[in-house]
Amino acid sequence: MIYYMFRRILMLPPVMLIVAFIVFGLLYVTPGDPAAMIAGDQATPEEVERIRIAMGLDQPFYLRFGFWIWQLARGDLGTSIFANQPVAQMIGQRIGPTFSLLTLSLIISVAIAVPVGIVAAWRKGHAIDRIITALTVLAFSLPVFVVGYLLAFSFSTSLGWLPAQGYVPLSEGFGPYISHLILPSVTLGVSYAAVLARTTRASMLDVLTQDYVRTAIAKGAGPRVILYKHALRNACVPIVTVVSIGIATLMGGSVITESVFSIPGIGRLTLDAILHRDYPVIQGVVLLFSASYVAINLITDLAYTVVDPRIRY
Amino acid sequence: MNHQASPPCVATPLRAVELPSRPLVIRKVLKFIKRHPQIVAGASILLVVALIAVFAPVLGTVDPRALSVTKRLRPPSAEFWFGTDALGRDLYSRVVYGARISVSVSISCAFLSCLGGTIVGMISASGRWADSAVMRVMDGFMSIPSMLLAIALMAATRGSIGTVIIAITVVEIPRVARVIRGVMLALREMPFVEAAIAAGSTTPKIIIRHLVPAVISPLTVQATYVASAAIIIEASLSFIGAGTPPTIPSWGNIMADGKALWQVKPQLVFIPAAFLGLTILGVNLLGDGLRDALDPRMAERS
Repeated sequence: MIYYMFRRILMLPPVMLIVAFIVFGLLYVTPGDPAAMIAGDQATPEEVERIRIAMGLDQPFYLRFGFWIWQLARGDLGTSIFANQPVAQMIGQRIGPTFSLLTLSLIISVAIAVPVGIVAAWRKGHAIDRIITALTVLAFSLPVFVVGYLLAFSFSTSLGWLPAQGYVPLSEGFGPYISHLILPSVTLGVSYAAVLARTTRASMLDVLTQDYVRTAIAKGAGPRVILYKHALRNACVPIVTVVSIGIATLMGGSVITESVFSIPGIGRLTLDAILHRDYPVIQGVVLLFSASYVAINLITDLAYTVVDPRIRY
Repeated sequence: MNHQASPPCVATPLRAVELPSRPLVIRKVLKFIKRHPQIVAGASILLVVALIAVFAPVLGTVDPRALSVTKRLRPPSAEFWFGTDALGRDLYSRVVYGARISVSVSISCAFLSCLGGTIVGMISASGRWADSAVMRVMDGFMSIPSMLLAIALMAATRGSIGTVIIAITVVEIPRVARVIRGVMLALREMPFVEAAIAAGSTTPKIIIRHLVPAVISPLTVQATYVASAAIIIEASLSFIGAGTPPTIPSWGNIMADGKALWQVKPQLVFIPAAFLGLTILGVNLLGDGLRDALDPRMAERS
């Protein structure tokens, strides 16, 4: 067990090194001069030269990569070409709204999807199961921004219940903070919740056919005891896996959700970076999200041993 | 030596339709619709979208890029079925031509990802050393959220449809490779492969005669997942301005154009959105149906 944890944590640096290599290498596998590409079509030769030197492009690849990793190890994500500001600082200023959005979205999705999946599995083949299954396919088929406009149009433009633009920090009161976050969080969570509900249903169905569930029914246990005590606890490993793997979807979707709801978070930073071809910022954002994702998955794997005592490594 | 009997049987349900005599054909078709409503619904939606894409020029469209300053933001009418956008372009023509982007991007990505994923998966399954090396790299790719990897790829290249397709393919290859590797590793242990080796079959022959047929059905299912993801990623990238160049009408681009005015003119956003959502729904229905039909073990579970 300790050995397993140790091995898993030891595997973290190589994976992150590969991720860093991919993110760093992308700029160089594409044909053409990266400096000229970043500078854009209207750049003067001096500007191209300035970017070349700023990014260290005048040095060989392995030296640049080594230096970059060295900087990363010290927490330096580089400097933005356009804003001329440290990338780490730029991300730090915008992490708040994105973090709130991701957290709330995760909570709402899990709180809705898991019970819905359980109900569908319990009532397999009934009308309610068919409706839930159809809804999950539909929810899974709508891109984040389509859901965003649908919700904003219904609950903001038409009904006027919730604001659909902007972000209010928590320091200005919980009411405005949460009301600005509800629509974006639900938007972001819809396809994630759909996948989660499907997994919950499939995994519960798997467990509900087991002998010990039949035994529990035979001895006269009520549906609540069977579902929560016998079935859900045994079904929860695949569910927890999907909760954690699906966070990648949430992270990617947050960029687009922030664009629909004008939230000044990491997504806005990324969009501006794309517009200005500010590659160091994009590198920083991708690395940050990937590192968090890898860390979350590691924690989940270790949490299995708590959730399911049968798992022994 | 009856080793041929086991692997190819998974693909048979689909061939059941091609039969000669007429009433029997109709009966078979009806039976097929009843047994696989998802496949039929999904395939019908996709057929319509594909026809729209192919016959875009003859569907009563005008030049989707033609600007007209005097005809800006017209409501839907007999002349402009869906109205016009902020630059006076005919929305109906733009949406119809937009189908071409989604269809071509999804087909190319599905094909390229399956090809690349199969090659990588087979390399990975071929040896111990290759396996750990390849899978570590694939783990690295899969540690990057796919939308962000696509964004990074697009930021590192010049925007064009080609680079969008390459970006999505790079994102999807690791997922396909994992599935193929899994199937391959399981197959390697199968008695019929051992029997073939014992019978003196050569390695290429084993791969072509025994392994490829077994890979076809998981690959078909993966292809639909890739196609669905490709449409979503292309539209999302275009929507945030990092995808298909803005001069080309794709559904994501049309929505990005309508973004500023969507509260006043909701049709500028919701008409392309409806086409987009319906197409993805079609792909997903087809994918789920195929998975249920081709992999009965999975069908029982979900």
